[in-house]
Amino acid sequence: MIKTLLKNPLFIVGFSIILILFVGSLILTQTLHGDIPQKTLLYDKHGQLIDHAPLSPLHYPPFGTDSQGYSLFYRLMIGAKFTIGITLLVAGLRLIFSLLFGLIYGMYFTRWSGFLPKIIDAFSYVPMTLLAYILLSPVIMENGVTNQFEYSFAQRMGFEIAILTVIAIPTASLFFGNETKHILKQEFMAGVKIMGATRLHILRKHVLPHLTPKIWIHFAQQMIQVLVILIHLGLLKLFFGGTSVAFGFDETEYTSVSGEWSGLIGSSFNELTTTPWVPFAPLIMFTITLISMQLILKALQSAAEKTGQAPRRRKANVHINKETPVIRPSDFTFLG
Amino acid sequence: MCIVIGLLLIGSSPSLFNGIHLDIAGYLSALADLTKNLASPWHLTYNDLGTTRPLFPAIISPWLHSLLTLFLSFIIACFIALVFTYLTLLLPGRFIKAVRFILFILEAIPDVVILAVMQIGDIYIYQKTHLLLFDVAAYNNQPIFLPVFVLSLLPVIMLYRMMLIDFIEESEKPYVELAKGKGMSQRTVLLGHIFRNALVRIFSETKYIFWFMLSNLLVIEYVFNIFGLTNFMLRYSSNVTFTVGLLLFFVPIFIILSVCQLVITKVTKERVDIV
Repeated sequence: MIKTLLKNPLFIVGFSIILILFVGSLILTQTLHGDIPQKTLLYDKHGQLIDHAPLSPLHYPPFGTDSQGYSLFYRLMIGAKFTIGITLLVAGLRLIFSLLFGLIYGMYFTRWSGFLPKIIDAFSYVPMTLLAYILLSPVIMENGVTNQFEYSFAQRMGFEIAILTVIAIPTASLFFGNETKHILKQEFMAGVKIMGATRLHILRKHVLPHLTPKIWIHFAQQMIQVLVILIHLGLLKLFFGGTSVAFGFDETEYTSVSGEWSGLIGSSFNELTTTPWVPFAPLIMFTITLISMQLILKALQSAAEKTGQAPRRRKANVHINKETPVIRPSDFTFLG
Repeated sequence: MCIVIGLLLIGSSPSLFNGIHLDIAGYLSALADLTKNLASPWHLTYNDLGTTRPLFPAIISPWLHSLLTLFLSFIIACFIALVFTYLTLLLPGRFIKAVRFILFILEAIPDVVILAVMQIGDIYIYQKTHLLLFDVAAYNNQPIFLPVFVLSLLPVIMLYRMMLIDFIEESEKPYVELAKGKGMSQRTVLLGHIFRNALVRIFSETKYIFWFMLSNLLVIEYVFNIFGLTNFMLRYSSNVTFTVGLLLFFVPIFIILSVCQLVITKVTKERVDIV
């Protein structure tokens, strides 16, 4: 499967974009030491002041600056490691736990198949963003009156990762459980059982190989879902790692603690009409990441189709006597 | 019925966490409270900045507005996707492949980007021509056109792509060849046979599309400052409003899906599981 993937240009493009963003972010964090290039005033070549921060992308390519004059490009690149890292981590955790529960459910709890799927089906009528928001807002939002977070940065981050993981697990577990059941119902399983295979053997040799392509596709889909939830939460002013709230004279200001992309969207979405490039820069980055993920997903799907449902197996070491029987004239006799 | 139990379990989930700690006992007691309260729906209340108000007449108007936006967008999305699919299928094969790929990429664009582009575009047009296409923000009169438009864009792309896949798959079946061999026109085959059969599979994705639209609805109501049901749930968030809101979304969607399932089973005599 990996070989077919590496030959697929869609996969290479998608994967390298995400890799460049992630590695570039790490390198920039190391080299800049937190000093983001800043330019508040812009002069023309005669020394005349022509513009001040926020500078538009025309004056300060590629993304312009925010209202404090910090380069949006560097801010976004430094934030990239958080966004991509969180997405990978949450999608990975979702995958591990749901695979575990799904396999247990599919292999052992065959009798629960009546009502459990229906209860879990309730999740398909619940907007995930709303559920995440309601569960997270008491912890992530800073108390505006006392200006203090109730929990430390690490605690808040852990809680957010846990919640984002947990809300998807029931549906995903059910998906893997049903897939497992589907494989166990295949015709060849009867033969496998007659040969005396234990459950562990069936799991290792038959269920997992069939599931592998689906696991990867599911992983890519989960990453897309996590990214979308992060955008939505950012818009609802719930930033990863904490929203610091400052009541101003006429409006409340929300700032992201970690500098992750969704925070930049939420804190600047109100300026959409005055300085559109400030909210648009993170949105463009999100779109690039999402499109790369979609390319990877497409490549995974076509690779899974190519390798087919049955994974390759080593040839059995059995010699069958393949001698074709020789037909001689003496084998036949004339009847009358 | 099981789904309602599931919704109750989800609805009381905010009590599952006390700060960042798990609170199972609190969860169970909240669940019991919730069930007891829901037994007498007319006595339910919500908390509006310290004053307690009865929930029921108050939640109806935002609910109807949300449902109107949701279903109108869905119907429009289905219709537009259908028209596009029909037009695309009349194109030569090379173009269809290109269209499929473009749609696949477009599907990745987050709804917030579409929202932002629409808002900016609207204001830009207003600045240039003094022609206000849609009201961007609203206080008393609730805008309906722009939210419906934005909400239906992504489902159009999704449905369009699904329909193309299903229609192409269906048109490779032998009966289509037979029908063409009998001298029926492309249009008759497409509308009379392929369409009817492919529709079954498209409707099996309806539930997923509604689920996807619910999250989008939340974002749209938030950005356009529409006082719909999701905004209501967000503003007066408590176990009761959350659960009642979820139930109010669930019931109409469930009824519509059930009706669709019944109709499809009757028409095509195929068993489908939509609900």
